[in-house]
Amino acid sequence: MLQALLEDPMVQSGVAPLLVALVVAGALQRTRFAWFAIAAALATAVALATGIGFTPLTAARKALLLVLLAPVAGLLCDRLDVSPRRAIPALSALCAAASVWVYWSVLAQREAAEMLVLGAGVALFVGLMVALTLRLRDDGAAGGGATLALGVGIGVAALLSASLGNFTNGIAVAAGGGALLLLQFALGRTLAPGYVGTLTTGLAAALFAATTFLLAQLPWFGMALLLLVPLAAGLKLAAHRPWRVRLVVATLAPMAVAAAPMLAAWLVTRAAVTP
Amino acid sequence: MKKRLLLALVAAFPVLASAAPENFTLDPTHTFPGFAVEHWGLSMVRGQFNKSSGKFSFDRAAKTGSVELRVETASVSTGDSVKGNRPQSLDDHLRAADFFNVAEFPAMTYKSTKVNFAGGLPASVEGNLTLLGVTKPVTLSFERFKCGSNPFSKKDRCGGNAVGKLKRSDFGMKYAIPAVGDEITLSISFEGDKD
Repeated sequence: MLQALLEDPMVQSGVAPLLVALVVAGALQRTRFAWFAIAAALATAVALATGIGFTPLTAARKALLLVLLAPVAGLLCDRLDVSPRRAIPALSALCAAASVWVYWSVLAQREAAEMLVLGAGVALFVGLMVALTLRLRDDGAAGGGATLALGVGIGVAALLSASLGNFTNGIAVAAGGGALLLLQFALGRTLAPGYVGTLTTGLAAALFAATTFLLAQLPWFGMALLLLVPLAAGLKLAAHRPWRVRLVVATLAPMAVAAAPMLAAWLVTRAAVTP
Repeated sequence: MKKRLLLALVAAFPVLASAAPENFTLDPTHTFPGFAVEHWGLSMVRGQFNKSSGKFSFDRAAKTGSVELRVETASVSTGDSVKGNRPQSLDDHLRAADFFNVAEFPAMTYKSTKVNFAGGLPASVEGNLTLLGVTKPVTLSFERFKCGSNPFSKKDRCGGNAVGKLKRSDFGMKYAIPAVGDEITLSISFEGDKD
């Protein structure tokens, strides 16, 4: 019975990661570690779906490895209290460069010109996504809303783009964001994501989207539209409203924008329908 | 003395000739590596790769041989290539990173390490399969291995069917286990003309 439950894809990608993220975030709410809940949710989903393993070190596994390490790097930045003027460009550039390492085995299969355009495009996307998400580090509502919306956006777009692995990853990230939003709603106060939360969200969103673009069928503009999600999450739409109203608004705004990449993936799917 | 040596060489010539390895190039229009995998514990889903290349050789007298096969993973076909109103066909999904990951690993290869003989013809092949960047030993048994001649080119031609089993998780292909079975049954039909 339990085994059958754990083999259900919705339990693997959504329910179990949400429960684990709630436990982790709840237990660590008074520390800087609460936003480790996103990595915990993702690790739970991957462990249940395929098992966590890094051999052979494929592009998808490199992406997962970096995302699971991201909160540790974020924690280091939080502890060192690095100025955002220096940290955001540095982390964005580092993540952009890391994306070349992640996708090298895919890029190397292409002609030189195509390899250059794809590599530079993906690196630019990764750098921008990380930079835009890091801007949300002081705002628990915006960070949670962006994490939920990016996760749902990537998950659904991946499902439409022939990548069920990244559907699982995306929904697990969304479950982590959802857990942090629920906890903040219940507590009635913000849990600032810091670099721990925003670096994890930004890198996860960037790499899972890029993986779906390069290894499945997500169109490039669907990937690019995801950049609007952290922008929407950063809008101070209900800054002077009560905390719980802010949380709801900060969730709905990026969720509405996340419909765009999903729609792009759906339209491409429809356009490619063959008789 | 010289005459005797010459006679001995002449007498031995047919033996020496038959001991030479015979080399064959696989005919891609009659070579199809196929697979079968259990789906939801119900049916066996079958598929094949439509593009492959390679060569094999064997020496009947010395009972040695070799096989090299390269399979283009993007050519996977299960009969479900038209997605219609669905987001993806089964073939699309098999090409994506969840399964064959063709953008990153466009080919899988098989290289023999030993060919075992029975009755003067190859009976099984031991070798290494490289799939998704992982190399593991896989043994293929010949259900049939026959030789004749190509009626058009008149060249010697051999062909048959080889079968084997592997666990896809050994190669890091772990997606959707156990809904889509871990054990894969390989079935390779092949023909090749003598070089």
